[in-house]
Amino acid sequence: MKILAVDNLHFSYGKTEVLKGISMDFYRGTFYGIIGPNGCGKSTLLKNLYGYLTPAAGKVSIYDENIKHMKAKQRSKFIAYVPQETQTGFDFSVYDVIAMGRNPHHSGLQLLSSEDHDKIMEAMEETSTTHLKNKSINELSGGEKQRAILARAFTQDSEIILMDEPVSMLDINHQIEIMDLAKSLADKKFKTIICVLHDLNLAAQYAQHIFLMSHGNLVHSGMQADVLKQQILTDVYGVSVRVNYDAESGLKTITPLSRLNT
Amino acid sequence: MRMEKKTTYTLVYIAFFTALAAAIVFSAGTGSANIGFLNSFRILISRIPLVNRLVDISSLPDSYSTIIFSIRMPRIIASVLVGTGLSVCGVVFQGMFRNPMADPYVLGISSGAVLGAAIAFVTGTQATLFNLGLVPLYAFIGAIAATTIVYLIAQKGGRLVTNTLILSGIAIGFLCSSIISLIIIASREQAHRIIFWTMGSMTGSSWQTVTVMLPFIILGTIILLLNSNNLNILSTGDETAVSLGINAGLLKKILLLIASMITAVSVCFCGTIGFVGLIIPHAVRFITGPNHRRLMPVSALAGAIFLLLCDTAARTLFSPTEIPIGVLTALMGVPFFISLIIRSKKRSHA
Repeated sequence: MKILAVDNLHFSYGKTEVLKGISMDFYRGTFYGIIGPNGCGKSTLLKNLYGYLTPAAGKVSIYDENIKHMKAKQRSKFIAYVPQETQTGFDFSVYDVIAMGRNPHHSGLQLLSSEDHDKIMEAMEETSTTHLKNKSINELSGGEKQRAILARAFTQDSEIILMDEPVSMLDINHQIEIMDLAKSLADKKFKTIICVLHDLNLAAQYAQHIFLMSHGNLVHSGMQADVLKQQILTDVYGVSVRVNYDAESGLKTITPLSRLNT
Repeated sequence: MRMEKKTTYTLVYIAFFTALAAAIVFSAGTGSANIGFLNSFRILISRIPLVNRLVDISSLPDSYSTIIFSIRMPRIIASVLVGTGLSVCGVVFQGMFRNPMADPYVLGISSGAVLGAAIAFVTGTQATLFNLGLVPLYAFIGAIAATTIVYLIAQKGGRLVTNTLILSGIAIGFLCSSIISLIIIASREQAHRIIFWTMGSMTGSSWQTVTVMLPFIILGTIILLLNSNNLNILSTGDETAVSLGINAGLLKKILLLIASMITAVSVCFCGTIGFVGLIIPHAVRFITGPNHRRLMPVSALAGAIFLLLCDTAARTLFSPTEIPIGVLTALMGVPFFISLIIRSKKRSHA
């Protein structure tokens, strides 16, 4: 079922056009990877998807309703967002941070209900953050912090979870941990995960569908196996790459070899 | 030391309310006419409906009542209001800017107000408005003008950027300060008054000033308190706030407007009382943690108590000479604040 649609989206920072007419469709329960070279507009696209930025032209719609006409609260019932890094400056407890995920379902004045509390505890269990409950969010390690933020997104009860390079600050162990968690949300809870990724190997490992962007355009879209190809990646990244299959794990690995002379 | 349970918080509120009531009674009984704690308690009670039948003050001189209700009470209420207002605004500015160094004066309100007051002093205008004199009006206009200019600079280009806001606040603050310096140099006879005004004083408090301040500060504080949950989310950053269903742009504008209003009203009657809006939120955070649902109301009470005690000291310590209250807030606040910093460092290393 189509849940989110991007239709001929244009966006500019001042006079620089960052997104030059992007169209995409997203379906329920799928893990999407958005990849592309630095500055191609991946993060800007994501910020347009949840309404932080407003398109200059074109539209983003959830179930055929233009999000521009939705209130922030209404949008946030459908879309959660996991940033690359979270800094608050204040020592909020992990529980308080995760509880913020209930805000879309509140008037802002209400205290947390016991139902909210149950949702929060469930999300903590799901992300193995229960033992961190009373700790300050600033005392957590990078991996723990991302788990807590993922728990907040989960508590939000939204069908779509956007992730902006969620693991680029983490070591490989914690990268896999967070990505597995996100994948299980797509598989078991039928969430739509839209994840901007730097690491092509992670994209190969987790994303079912890949959007490849370059210079503000969507240049390739398709199943992972059709997009992550030697020639395509070489053209877009300007680096000759080798795409191998690891027979034992069945995974695709992408190795950059040398920069092309441009 | 941080408490989590609801019952504990009920106790915290009871403790702070009791302390505030005690501070009011203490302040009302203290001064050049020594009325005493117990007598002041009886006189205050005698004006409260229902319980007033329990006390008999006929044995006390009438002058006691007059001193308390005509002279001390307006000043006490003004201190409570300003202490509350500045502390709550401090919480809001720190939360909104995600900057622990922010205080209510960060957008140039104080220097704008001083500039307004300085202009009123040198033009020597004797006209009055509601018997309040024109100095507060000029100061208020100065405060609002400075903040508006800061806001318009930061707003340029559509999105309200926090850093631009703080930077333009600093710039306009410096501009106002240099104009004030020029005024001081040009008009030496007014220099003393201007400088005294920058250090703050509750001397000018009367029932009239209280009547003007009260609705602004009470209503404003209530609106800010109602936004404490929104402020929690806003303090995690604009991007996250929007994704959690907060219209960050609009919310920031509302908070800025209300907090600037409260600060301007406080400053225009009492001068620029420093330090309260900076330290009270920090000190209270040690008790309540950063959750604004608890931080804001407790800061409101703590600020009221702190400023009232400072003002009581200001008017009695070297009586009949008054110490500027801004000097006292710093003198009393800094040692306390430093002890908190040291204690928290010890705790985090433990």
